[in-house]
Amino acid sequence: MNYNEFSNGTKIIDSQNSIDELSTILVGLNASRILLIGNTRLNDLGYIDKIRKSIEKQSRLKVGAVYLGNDLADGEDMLKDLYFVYMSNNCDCITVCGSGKLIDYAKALKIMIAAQIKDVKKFFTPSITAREIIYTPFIAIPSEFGSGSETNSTSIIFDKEKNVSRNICDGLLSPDYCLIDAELIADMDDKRRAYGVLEIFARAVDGLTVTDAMNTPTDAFSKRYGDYIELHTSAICEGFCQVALTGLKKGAVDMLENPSAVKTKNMEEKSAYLSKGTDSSGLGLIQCLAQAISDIKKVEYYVALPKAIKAVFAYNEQACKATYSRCLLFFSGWQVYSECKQEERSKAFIDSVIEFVDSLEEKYFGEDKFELNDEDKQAVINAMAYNVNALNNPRKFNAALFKTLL
Amino acid sequence: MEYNFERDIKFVVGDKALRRSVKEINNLGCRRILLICDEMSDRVGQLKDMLRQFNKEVNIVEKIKRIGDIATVEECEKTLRAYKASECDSIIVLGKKSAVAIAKAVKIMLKDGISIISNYRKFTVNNISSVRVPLVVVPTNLSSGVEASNFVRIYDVEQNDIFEFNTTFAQTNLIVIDPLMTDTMPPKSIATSGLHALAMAVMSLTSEKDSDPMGEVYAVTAIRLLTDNLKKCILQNKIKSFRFRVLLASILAGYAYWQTPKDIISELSDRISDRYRANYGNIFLILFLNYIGMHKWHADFDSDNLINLLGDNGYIVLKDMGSKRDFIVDSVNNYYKRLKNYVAYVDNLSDLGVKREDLVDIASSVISMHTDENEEYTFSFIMELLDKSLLSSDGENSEEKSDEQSDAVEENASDKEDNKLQEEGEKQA
Repeated sequence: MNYNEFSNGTKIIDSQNSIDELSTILVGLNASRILLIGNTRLNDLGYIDKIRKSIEKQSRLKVGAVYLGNDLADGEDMLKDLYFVYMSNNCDCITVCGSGKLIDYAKALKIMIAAQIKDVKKFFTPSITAREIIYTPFIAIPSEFGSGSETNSTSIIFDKEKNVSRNICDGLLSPDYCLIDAELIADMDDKRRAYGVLEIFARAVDGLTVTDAMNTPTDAFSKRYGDYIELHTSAICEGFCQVALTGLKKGAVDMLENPSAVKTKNMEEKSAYLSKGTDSSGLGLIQCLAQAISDIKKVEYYVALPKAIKAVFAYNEQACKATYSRCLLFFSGWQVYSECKQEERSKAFIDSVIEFVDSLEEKYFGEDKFELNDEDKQAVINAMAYNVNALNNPRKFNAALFKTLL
Repeated sequence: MEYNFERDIKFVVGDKALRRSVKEINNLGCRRILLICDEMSDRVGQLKDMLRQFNKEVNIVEKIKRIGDIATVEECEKTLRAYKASECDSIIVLGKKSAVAIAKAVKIMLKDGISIISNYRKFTVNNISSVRVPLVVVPTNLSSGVEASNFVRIYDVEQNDIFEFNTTFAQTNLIVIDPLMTDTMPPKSIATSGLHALAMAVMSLTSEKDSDPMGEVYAVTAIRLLTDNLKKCILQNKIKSFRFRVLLASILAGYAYWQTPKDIISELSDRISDRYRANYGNIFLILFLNYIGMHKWHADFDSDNLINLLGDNGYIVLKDMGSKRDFIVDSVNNYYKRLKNYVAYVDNLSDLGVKREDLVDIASSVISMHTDENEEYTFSFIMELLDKSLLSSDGENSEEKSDEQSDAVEENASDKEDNKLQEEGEKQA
């Protein structure tokens, strides 16, 4: 029997004024001096100040330092700065408010402190073991929805030396609490919201199609049995993906056409819970490909998603036929599903997804379009090889075919 | 919205889950652990198996082994004394719901600094505390999902009284579900417990109360796991993987169901179970099957997931039904009716010893708690529900027979297949 799963224990708080609860939570976590990480945009909008005031409502809590980071900054340098600021101010807790990338850096800082290892590169190899773990309370307050970084135990850090993004996966990375604030999330622009929907979609489909890395077809396996293996998605992960896909299209169209704080918050809830559920499955092929394209073309991760989704659907059409058929049920509802013949469901799902992505692309992402030349395509394939999760797919990785699909 | 996420529980599930949980137990800060184990798990060697998997990497400093079928006040106080005497900082529970209830009661008493449970007659549970007692549960048996709930019931045998708690401080922090720990159960018990779990999952999805998104996901997952595995588990109950999946489903369903305040069915089940010492799961199931046809849903709940699931289920023919409610009611009734072909679970309260003359008393004891919450729960509604449940099969026998005859043709083919499965299962086991 091959059946492993694990769900992470990040607590999600999406009450009306979740930021106001911050001090109570921090006291519960036995924190006293907090390193507050944010960015300049949020600082200008006054959110950092609001968080600070909320923390200092309790007299035993002090903000030890405020660090305003930048999504585009060099990750390794920023982590060195953060480590220095944390240590020199005698902090014992991290609270981060910002985009997925900023939360990723803060999580990397958390593991560096917990394991007492200053160099983040040492975590790129999963074999590292710490002598003693220092418990570091961590609270994430996302300002955008989609990435799921606020609840998962993965941190993606750009490796300058190899020119690729690397994943650090460890249970220590999962935040203790994720606070969802409707007002903060509602500040996203339409384009970013549309990308956020695609990010949720990509993670849900990836969650349903990832397979245990140990089971990925190897050369020896494919010689004997072929290039495909049967999918065994874990039950909890499947449930999360299913709930995320159900009503996603309808909810997204509604949110984009008539935006409101509540609708955006609902999307963030979908994203945060999905991220918890798929945490143990690692990244799937769509996310890895989008990551690789983003590294090569130097664009944001989410900008690469439409291309990645289309390429992976074409690549996995055969390998994930049964899963895609069921996805039609979640994505389009049982009425469409029941009207479609069994053998046509997979194709119908792919068609409806491509139609959905095209409609978003036309309306929101027009200016972000880019092309990959032959050199880029080869570089993308090479970059994927650095990511073990890229092979976490029911089909044996076929680089040549993949290149033609990009 | 409430702090429903405080009840967020970590799950370590699957092959070698016990081995993999060692890291999680250490990450929870468990340094000196009190182990609570029921009598049966100790006797059949599951305790030894568990300790072997921990491989001395988990520091258990005290063991309370002989927990009976009911969580009593004496057991709770004795366990609390042992916890304090050994200077423990966390609890691991192996076994049935009585052991889990004792651990939760100890957690609550530690938080309030109370050593005699009867003090709760004078005080309520304090809602503010920074005392942290990590609780790890390793379930062995299909139960009503109490492992994931915040409800605790402790019996005072001497005073013939019951202490009930519902607090987030009773929360389990980690649940470890390892196929190695799943007990063999007779098909009838599996059917009852499995169907009870399915009932809890459906109830939580159709509840009109504010639902926790995690609960929704777990209910959906539980329904899928149960509809996929319950029949196989009944026919081949010696195969671990099926038992394990049904156990996981029952815990997930429990999580989903117990997140909301007690509803009318659980209140009635508690009263009847206490009065007649009958199985809680059986009562719940009977009430649920009658309730689902009577309850007037306003169809404003998020039923899409449920409809999708039931639509995907092999038992259901997808067709355009009148409304979402009809679709769900028909699907549920159909599923339960069909499963009865494989195992005869109890389907009326009179078989459990419930007497008609007690119904008024039971209904009156429950009605006071629900009149302000939901207008639907009137005295006559509860009486009608109890009345129907008392003799549910008798009144409907004639109609059901004709239905069953029409279904018999298509079932014959699947029965043969199931017989084959059963034989194969026995061989494999």
